[in-house]
Amino acid sequence: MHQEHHKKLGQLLTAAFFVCGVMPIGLMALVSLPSSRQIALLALAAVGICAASFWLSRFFVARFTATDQDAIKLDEQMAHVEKMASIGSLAAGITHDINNPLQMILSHVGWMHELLGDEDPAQVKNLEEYKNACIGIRHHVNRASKITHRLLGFARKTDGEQTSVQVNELVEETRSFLEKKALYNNIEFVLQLEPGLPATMTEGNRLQQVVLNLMDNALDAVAQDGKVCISTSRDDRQIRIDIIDSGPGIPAQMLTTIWNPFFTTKKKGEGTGLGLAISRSIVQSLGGALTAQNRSDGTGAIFTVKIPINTVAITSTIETGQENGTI
Amino acid sequence: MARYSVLIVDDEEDFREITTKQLIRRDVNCESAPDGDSALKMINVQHYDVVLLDVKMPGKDGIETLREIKRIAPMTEVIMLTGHATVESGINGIKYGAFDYLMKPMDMEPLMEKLDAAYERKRIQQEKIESAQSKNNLARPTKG
Repeated sequence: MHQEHHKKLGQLLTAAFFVCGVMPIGLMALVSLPSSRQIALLALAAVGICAASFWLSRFFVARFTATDQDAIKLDEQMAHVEKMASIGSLAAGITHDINNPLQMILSHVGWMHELLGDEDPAQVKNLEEYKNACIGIRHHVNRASKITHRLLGFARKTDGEQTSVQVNELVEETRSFLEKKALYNNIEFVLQLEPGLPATMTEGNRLQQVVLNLMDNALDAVAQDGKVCISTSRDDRQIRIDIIDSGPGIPAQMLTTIWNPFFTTKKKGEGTGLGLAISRSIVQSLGGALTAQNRSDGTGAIFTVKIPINTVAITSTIETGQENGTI
Repeated sequence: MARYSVLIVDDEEDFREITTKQLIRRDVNCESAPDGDSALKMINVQHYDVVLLDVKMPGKDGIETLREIKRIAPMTEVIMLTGHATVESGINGIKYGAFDYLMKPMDMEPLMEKLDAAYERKRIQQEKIESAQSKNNLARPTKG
């Protein structure tokens, strides 16, 4: 639609430039009855004007198109910000409504479990089964509450205490959380950690949540038999963490949509579609950036986290993060 | 004898009822109030070591109630309970003198840990004040 518009505009501009340039020449030719040499010169000037008007119009159309595309991009970003803000308030509402009944389930089952401890095993035939059922309920309520807390983390931008974080240690610890899953699916974790990375003041728990989420996603992307490589590096101001998987990569048309909340390629019930949206929001609130690309040889995806190296706790970063965190 | 006393202030009746039972079972003296105003009335006539206070309740909200409690009974420790996206209120509560905050849903273990820790702080503070007072009393006659 826009392209057609610009094409028409280009034609109009060419015509306008041409008429403006050629008309005076034509008038001169009519008024002064020129010699054949002058006619040749005038013709040459007309050709020059044609070329110039063509290039000028192309130049303007290109400028218009670029401005237009910038405006579209800005519109999209604005729409995204608004969407994230409304998700934030929705999340706050959901957590409020769900956490209270979850608390009641947990309290009731906790009480039941306690009282079961008083029972005589000889009298209650299925005592162990009841106890296990209580443990099961508690486990699943805690699972549900983790989701609501993640939503809560999404709704509010920072809670945070900044501590001195060694990124290499954080990565190794996070790897240990997922080792069993990797082993079970025959996926090898390869760590390439730059020695001597400086510690940075940041919110370690939230950064770990991001790294855990990205590593877990990488395992899901590989599914079976493959590699997930995590490398760390630094430049003057930033620490960089790359999570590289040997999965199928991200389809080109999804490279932007993966950041949208509730976007998921996982099976129903396996993913909330919030992981990447929350991760990006967290990294931004820490003053960094989270990006995704495919490996150049087409054998998997690379997620890159960049966080600033802060020697002291930077409160202004958090404040900026709060403003930008919804993107 | 009970180890210490707790007042639960929460508008969820079920929560008050079960938590009271659970605390009594753990040798903690426990009573409850459905809202801020009734809690304040109870605190006016009786002493509690720790108050477990919901941030969001009908009527007087948690922060207001907290400020009143701290005015009436400054030694009483308060733990804020947040059941929704107002962790900020919990943190805000700490600014107004709450001991800590807990996010719902929570298991009994973390609740007990926080309650014990809150009581411990209260006990130590109380001891300090008492020893300061007794030193003061001892110091007076020698001065004179």
